[in-house]
Amino acid sequence: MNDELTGILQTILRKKGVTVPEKFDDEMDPIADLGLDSFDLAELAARIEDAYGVDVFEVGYPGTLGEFRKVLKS
Amino acid sequence: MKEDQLFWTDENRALFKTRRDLIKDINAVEKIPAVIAEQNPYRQHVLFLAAALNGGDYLLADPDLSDGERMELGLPHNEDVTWQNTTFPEVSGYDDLRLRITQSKNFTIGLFTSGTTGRPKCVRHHIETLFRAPLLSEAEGESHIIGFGFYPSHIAGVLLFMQGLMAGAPMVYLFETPASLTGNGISKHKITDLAATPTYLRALTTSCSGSASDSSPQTTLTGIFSGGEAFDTELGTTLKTTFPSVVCHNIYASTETGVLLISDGATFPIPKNLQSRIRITPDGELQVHRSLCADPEQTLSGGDWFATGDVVESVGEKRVVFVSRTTEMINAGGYKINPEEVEAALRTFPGITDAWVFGRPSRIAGTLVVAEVLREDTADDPLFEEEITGFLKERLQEWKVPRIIRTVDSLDVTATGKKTRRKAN
Repeated sequence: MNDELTGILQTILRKKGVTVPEKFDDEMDPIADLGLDSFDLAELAARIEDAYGVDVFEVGYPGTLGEFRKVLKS
Repeated sequence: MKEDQLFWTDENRALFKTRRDLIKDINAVEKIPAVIAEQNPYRQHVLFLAAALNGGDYLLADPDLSDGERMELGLPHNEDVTWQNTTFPEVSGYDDLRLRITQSKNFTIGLFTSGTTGRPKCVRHHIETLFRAPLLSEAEGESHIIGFGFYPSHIAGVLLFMQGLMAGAPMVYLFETPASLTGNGISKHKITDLAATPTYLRALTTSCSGSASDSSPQTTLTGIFSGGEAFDTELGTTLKTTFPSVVCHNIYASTETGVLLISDGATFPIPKNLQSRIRITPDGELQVHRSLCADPEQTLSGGDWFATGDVVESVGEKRVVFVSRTTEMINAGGYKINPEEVEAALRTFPGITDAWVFGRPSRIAGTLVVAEVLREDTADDPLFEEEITGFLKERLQEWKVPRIIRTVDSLDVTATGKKTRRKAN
């Protein structure tokens, strides 16, 4: 799925200088599969807040991208 | 044999050094640079210890400073650093090393801090200010394994190193390990005590509670030493949930003073022996007497009290909680960043006419460094952020680079034309 969340992840990964996956499927976990560290997560949260107006970590770490999208929809 | 006990290893055991290795490596040092700046933390430790044994004055610098940053600190280029020959008698063993380190008298090591004003200062420490008291008793130390989660060339890393060294506890270098692997690292190395910043600890608890790791670090971890940033009660609760048998120690320390206060949560008791040497101004700023400062000449600008820039509130009898900072320095995930230094670097990018760097509150990192810039050409350029980030990474240490850089139409200025700074939390 290509949405703003994907765009945000691509930006973060490109700035880190790591390979950007071709597809971001719902089962991917930003920490385990994309190697995001604490500062990357903080940046992710801030960019999501700016794009969606949502504090995505408010009730904890969503987990997979599918879980992230659920939080963003609600 | 005790000398075969592990002293230092990185997470994947590529570098695995026993006490015997350490002694051999220290004895093999023939020359010590006046500025110690090593990419390899173990190498930094070896040179540091050799320097302490040798005596003399040294500086400790981060290994990844750009030429511009070295100039800011008044450091010579690498090629121009002077070297001292070693003349200390051979170390006979680990116990001999520890004894001689504590007896080291004419040794100073200077650590850099931007302190509260943003202008870099060099604070010279002696061993006594880097190791005031053991936080792990030696008897315990024999059965403790430390997870080293601090930046090795900053004060927290140096203080932690001294604790591990003196307690005789093996140290496993976890600072550069990503959060997703730290939980496994803790289990694999049977780490009992983890020392790291709240930001690091938050990322760890997040990945432990997620699907990321299936082996539980909960079983070996008994102590957590947190420092470098504000520690909130929510973090304490999260840590207790993730690691039920863990005791938390929250350390308040600074480059200027070394370790000052220790707490088991967010509020700090002021011990009797420090009560006459720590005071709170009417504005709530914590101030520390010169006798507790490592380098009063450098740190104090006249008078007997060091203004920490930390604002506290009294809670109950002789207890304080940290509420905010008075300075413009940004504390992002434990790193202290001078916004003016970053703004100056931004303004050297072609097309950027002005810049504003500030801290944005972050649930995960406490504060996130972000920037707004004014550009000549405001055309929408999707690659601009990546370009400017790459530009800054060549000029500044990575942790100083703003994580979000937005082009705006105007910067927040007050009536007098001064940029308003959002104060770090």
